[in-house]
Amino acid sequence: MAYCQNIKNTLLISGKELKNRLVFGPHRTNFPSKHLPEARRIAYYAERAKGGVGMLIMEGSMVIKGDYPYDYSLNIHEEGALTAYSQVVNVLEKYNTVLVGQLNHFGIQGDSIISRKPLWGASPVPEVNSNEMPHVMGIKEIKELQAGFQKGAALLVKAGFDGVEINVGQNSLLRQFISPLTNQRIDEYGGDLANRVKLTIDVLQLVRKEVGDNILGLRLCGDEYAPWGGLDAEAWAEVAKYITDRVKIDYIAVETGSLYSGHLTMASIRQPEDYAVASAKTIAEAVSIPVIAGGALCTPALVDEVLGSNIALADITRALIADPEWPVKVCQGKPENIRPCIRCREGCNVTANTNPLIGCAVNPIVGLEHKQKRAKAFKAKNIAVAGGGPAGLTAALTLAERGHNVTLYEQRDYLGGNWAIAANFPGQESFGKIIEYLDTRAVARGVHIELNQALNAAVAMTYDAVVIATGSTPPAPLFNIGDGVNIAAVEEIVSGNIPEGKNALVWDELGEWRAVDAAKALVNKGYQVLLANQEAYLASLLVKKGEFSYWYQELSKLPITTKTQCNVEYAGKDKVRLTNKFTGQKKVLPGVDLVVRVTINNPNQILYNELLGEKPVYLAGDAETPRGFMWAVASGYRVGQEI
Amino acid sequence: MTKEYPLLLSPLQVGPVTLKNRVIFSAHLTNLAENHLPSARQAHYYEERARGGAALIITEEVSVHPTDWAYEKLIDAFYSEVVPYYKYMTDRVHRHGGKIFLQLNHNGSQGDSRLSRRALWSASQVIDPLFGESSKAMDKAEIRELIEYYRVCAMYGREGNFDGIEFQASHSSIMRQFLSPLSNKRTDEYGGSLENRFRIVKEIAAAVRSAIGPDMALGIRLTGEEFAEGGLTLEDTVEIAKLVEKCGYFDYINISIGIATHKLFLVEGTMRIPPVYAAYMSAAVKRAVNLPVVAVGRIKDPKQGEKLLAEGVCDLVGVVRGQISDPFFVAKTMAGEEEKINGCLSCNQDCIGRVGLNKEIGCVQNPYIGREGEIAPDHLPKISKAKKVVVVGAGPAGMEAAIIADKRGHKVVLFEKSNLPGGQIPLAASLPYRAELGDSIRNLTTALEDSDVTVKLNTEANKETIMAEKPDVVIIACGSRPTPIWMAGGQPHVYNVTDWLTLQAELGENVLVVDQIGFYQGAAVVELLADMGKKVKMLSGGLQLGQGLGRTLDLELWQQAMAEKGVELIPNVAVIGIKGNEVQAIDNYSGAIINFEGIDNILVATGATPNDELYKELDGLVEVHTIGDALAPRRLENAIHDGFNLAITL
Repeated sequence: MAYCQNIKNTLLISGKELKNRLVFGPHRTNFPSKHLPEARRIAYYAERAKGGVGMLIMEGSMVIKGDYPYDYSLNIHEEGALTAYSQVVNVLEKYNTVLVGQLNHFGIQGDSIISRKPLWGASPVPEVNSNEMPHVMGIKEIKELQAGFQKGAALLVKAGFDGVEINVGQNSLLRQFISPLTNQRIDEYGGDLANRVKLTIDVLQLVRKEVGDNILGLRLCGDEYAPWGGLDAEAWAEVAKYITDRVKIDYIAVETGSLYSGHLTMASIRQPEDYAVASAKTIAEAVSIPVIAGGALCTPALVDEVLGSNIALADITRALIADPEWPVKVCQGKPENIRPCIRCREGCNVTANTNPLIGCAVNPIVGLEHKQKRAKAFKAKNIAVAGGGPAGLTAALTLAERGHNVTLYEQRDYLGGNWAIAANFPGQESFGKIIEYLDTRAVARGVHIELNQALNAAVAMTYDAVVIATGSTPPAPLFNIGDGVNIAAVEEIVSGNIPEGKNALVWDELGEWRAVDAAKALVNKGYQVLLANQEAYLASLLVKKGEFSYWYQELSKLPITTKTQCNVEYAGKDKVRLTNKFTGQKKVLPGVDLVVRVTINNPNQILYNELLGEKPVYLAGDAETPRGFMWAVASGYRVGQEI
Repeated sequence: MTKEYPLLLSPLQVGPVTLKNRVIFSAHLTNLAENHLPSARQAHYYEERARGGAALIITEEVSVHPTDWAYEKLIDAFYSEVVPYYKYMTDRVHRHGGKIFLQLNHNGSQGDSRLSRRALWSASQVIDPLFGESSKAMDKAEIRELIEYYRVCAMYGREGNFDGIEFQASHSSIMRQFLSPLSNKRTDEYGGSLENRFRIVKEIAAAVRSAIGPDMALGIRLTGEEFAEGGLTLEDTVEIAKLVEKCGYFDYINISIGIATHKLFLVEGTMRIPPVYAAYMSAAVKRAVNLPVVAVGRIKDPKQGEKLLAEGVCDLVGVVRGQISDPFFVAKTMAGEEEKINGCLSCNQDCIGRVGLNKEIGCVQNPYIGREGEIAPDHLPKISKAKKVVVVGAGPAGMEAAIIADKRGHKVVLFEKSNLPGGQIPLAASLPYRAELGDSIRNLTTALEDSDVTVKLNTEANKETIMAEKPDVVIIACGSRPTPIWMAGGQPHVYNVTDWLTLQAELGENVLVVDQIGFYQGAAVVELLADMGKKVKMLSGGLQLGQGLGRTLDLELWQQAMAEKGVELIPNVAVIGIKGNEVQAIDNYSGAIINFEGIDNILVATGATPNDELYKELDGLVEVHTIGDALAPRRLENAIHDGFNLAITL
């Protein structure tokens, strides 16, 4: 069979032909707008449609005034909606991608702080994070909701969309009605399955009236991962069958997770790429219509394999954020040219209160598709790039693409800098893929790479300009350390470079995965571990990213001691002395042989300081200031555009 | 006009600018900007305070450089596009005789580069403890660039008709980061000695003064004390103030408290912190310099302001939350109607509580906020026909609805079954450090007494008594009742916290509090129990106990108090069974079972059930609405805003 033939097969859904089996799924983007699609968002979608994806489902639109789940949600009831939604169709039409609009109500998973109106819920059950008690919907509100969905569907059809999707997935009021976790009603909308699904069926029937022969899709939750009362894949398969037996549905998209398992809706690298496929397969078995599987699919071979099963379509949203041309490249048999999604969630998880715009760690132009890229350099310059980490490689590639002559110097015998070390961490192997990609692309663009050679000032002076991407170095602990205690950087520990010893202190200033990774590696080596931090709880950064539950689950498997809200006064072989951050009360714990400080590195700026004022120098990546992989790539790209 | 406030209501010369009195509306975040520009709504927000008598408005900070995009709605002051928006804003303030200064700022390392996608600038490479992000140490070319950007932004301020410029060198600013040895580790002429650390301020001031000329005022906002090891102390700040005066570019000094990075709770103290808590800082600065000095920090009423001036603590008083809550703070003071001021509660629930979440500023007690251009207490929507309105329940929702409906010309009857108005607020206000919550009811009672609303206390309404009033509209504001604790199965030693507070039942020595809300219902009750000498354990499913208090800035202080009072806080667990003195819980992450033994009583902070039975009875008979807890049991701000939002549509 031809390469990735399953991906390349066409599919007819309700008379519309999908040119392949790939789907760009609905996701929050935070394009700042007055609740309607506008130029920036359309440019973002157009880029993916142009890249050849078979079907594109737009970010969900809210159907009821008062349901403002986040600042830049789309509202289909807004004045001027028809014109705005028609504009999406007008721009995307020429790319021959099947275009679907999604309709939704967030229910108790919304946020009343924007609308100042009560949340709507099936029952007096608060959402677990906000703990906000909703208004229990009466018949009036239920009718209003149905009418909202119907009107929204009519508008989408009128605007020229190929189809309408109704959200009964992770963040939806309709799911809250179906799930016994959130529906405790005793009227015709609560109780047995038929009653709990009634609202969804009523909505779908009304929407079908408006949709006619166009596509009507249904987004379902595949597993709530809440075994004490939620619905699992089997139960959702029953729901799917019950619904499709009663309403003509054209496809089912399956996503996973619920209030209690947000980390499983758009899972990070910590979950396998196909973690959400099994539940989609269970649902596919129960119905006779195409099923879309999603989760974290992004590798061509795996996607093709999944499509060889009872799964008809693959949602590869994040792969398409990273590289909009993924479909074209696979169809042309050139998967090695794909800029790989590394499933880090750094840029595409935009749920923070600050309303960050959608971005991508490996693709710095995400969110800025509406802007023109910088043209060729006016005059080709000879440029040296010091450092072959993500920042240096990105800068080198971008400069070469713009016509400069670029030489990259790397002091180690491999490329990737600290990122290459992170790729050694168990489970993070795919981080290495992006280095491979940048390396290959840079070489193809004519970048000259010198390994085992640190750029020195004398050589640097022979170039027209120098990019300083010399990375960063782990700093020493700030507290007193007793004689004979080893000090190690987290990178060494996780890479398996662990000194002999019995007791270790892991002092976490970062709140990221690394502390647990280090603790795990140390436990495996036979260490007793004390994991401590200053904050009120562990993994604070992952809490901000909504990804902590899995970290806590992993932590809970380790036989270690944890302490929060403390300062370390002294860590020696004889004892460790901690002080309570609030009361100053001292606590003495057994001594340690090893201290691991998990923190932000110090920038390497020696070469920069030598050249400053002597030569045009540009800082990029950790050498500018250590901000992690995403900003290394972003600043490398920025410098590449600037010179 | 009253003669009680000879100092507070007297004019003051600040450099070239004459202020008509001593009350200023100092800088604070509003999130009202749109597209990085000042919005009309922001101008109207300031105008309302000028109309209410404030002598001086100092705007929300504006960003002087593209490397500073610390929060989403920060205004970009370095593009000339701002000028027409400035003009609109300043005109709105000037027409009421008020003055307005523009606050220029760069947040430096105290930000998140996710928005700008550019590295944060600061004096040195430091990691901000709050944002956890590493900054870039500025090189000299960048320092020169920053100075030039300040100059250009000041010039736009001048073109926009501002009366003055204020530099933020306080809680979240690059100037403070240069001034403080905590964040300035430079070895060049911008680091080291105090003079060196002050150099950038002086250079920026020189550039800005050259742009604005002698007829605009220039001020600086310093932090009184950083409260951080190795950071600026009050003595340092006094020395900085002397340098400010000596350099000759400045006309006044504004003192704020704490920094966002350490002791954030001191920036806007809640009712946990005594009123006028920061006056000693302004006093110390005032003793050392001749420039006018501003004092801020929970100055809640005009008497406190007058006293500060009389004692020589300061020359101007910053009343921010007091004027958020009541824009007519000064006007009412002048008219001798101080008791009618809608006094701030210092609850922080809707001002910083919203702004901290990147939402527009609000106020629990002032629903006009953000729509000052459309509505005001003396400019409510006209009614076409006076209606008979019956309001059932004199909690905050019902009181607010009655007051506003009456103000608009409707005929209002308010039923209350108990002998006191206020609903659940008096109970909440009886808890430790929550007394000022009760001021909301005092404020509403004052307004009610001022109205023509017929109040029927001790009168339980029913279908018949309501219909006997021949109402055009009925508003159900009957509140909520504590939800029974299902997992207790009727065991008498288990209480919903609200029930226990009402019953005042005797408790044994060992009390377990289960918090399913994460707000004061749990946190304040636990503190009360600890103060009563009980041995208290508190548990919840959250990552930390009392997490909702983070929004009001009370969390750290409360956690500290719990540590000191010996309360055991147990996060990440859920109770699965209560059997006499034994309680069984499960760890949310490991699934491990945890048993608690010897528990005498269990109190549960959990949801409430709406009292909406009357709504169901009356629906279809008459136009009927529900508001507040009767609609969905939520918080005080929801109750008052529900009442207001309904009453302006009747």
